[in-house]
Amino acid sequence: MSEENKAIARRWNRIFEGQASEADAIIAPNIVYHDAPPGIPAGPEGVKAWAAMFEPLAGMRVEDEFYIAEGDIVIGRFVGKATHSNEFTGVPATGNQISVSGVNIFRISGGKIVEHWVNYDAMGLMQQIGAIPDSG
Amino acid sequence: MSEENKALFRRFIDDIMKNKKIDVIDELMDANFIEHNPIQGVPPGIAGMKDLMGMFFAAFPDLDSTIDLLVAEGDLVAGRMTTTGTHTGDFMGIPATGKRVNFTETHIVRIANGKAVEHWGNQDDMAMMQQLGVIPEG
Repeated sequence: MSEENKAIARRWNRIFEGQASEADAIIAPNIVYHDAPPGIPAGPEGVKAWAAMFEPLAGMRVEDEFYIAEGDIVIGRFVGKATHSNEFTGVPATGNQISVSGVNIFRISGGKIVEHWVNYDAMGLMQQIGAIPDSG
Repeated sequence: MSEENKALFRRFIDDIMKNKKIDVIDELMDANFIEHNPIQGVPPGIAGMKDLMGMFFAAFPDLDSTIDLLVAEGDLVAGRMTTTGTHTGDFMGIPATGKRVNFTETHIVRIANGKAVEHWGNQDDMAMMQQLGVIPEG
């Protein structure tokens, strides 16, 4: 069960690498997004809209570091890498290489993700594109 | 094994973060502890962790943290927490604002021979800095 759940969880990062259709396969219609940006749609369309927000960052790769599973929960640590090649959150392109770590948490039921939480280094991302000063 | 590892994680939250017993760090952390998400200006190892906790307690004397979710597999344990505090002391150069912070964090620890040997952590620094008024909202 845990291994099957890990296989489902691994597909989430692919959505952020441009494979939007993965969302239709792994996201439950009633998924609860605990940490998504406000205003995204319900169900699989929500994560698609979320991933689309990162499209200005070219060549996005989300590297899986490792997964931990117990019961219906899977936790996945990742490092997202991209190039700041277009305007992003109002900040003009810098060409900077970005590398940001984070942890996704999924609850999986009936072969679909029904709940999602994430903590990632959003502040590091903003520092790497020069939006806020790099100060500890 | 997994249950023992969860117990160690809970001790870190209950004894250290909630009850401010900094010396418990000596019991829970291995001397060769590896930090994958170092914080600028914080030295490595046990001494660094003590400095970091001491700095947090001085800045947020009512610091509290609740484990929302805790899972373990093999030698790894991971917990998602909600942390709160009132900023009444200097925090990384930011003078006391009196503001309340409330943010989430996820920590992953590898445990060997009853001690934490490796740590990966991500916390919502952005929310915290916005709540302190240091960086703008949104």
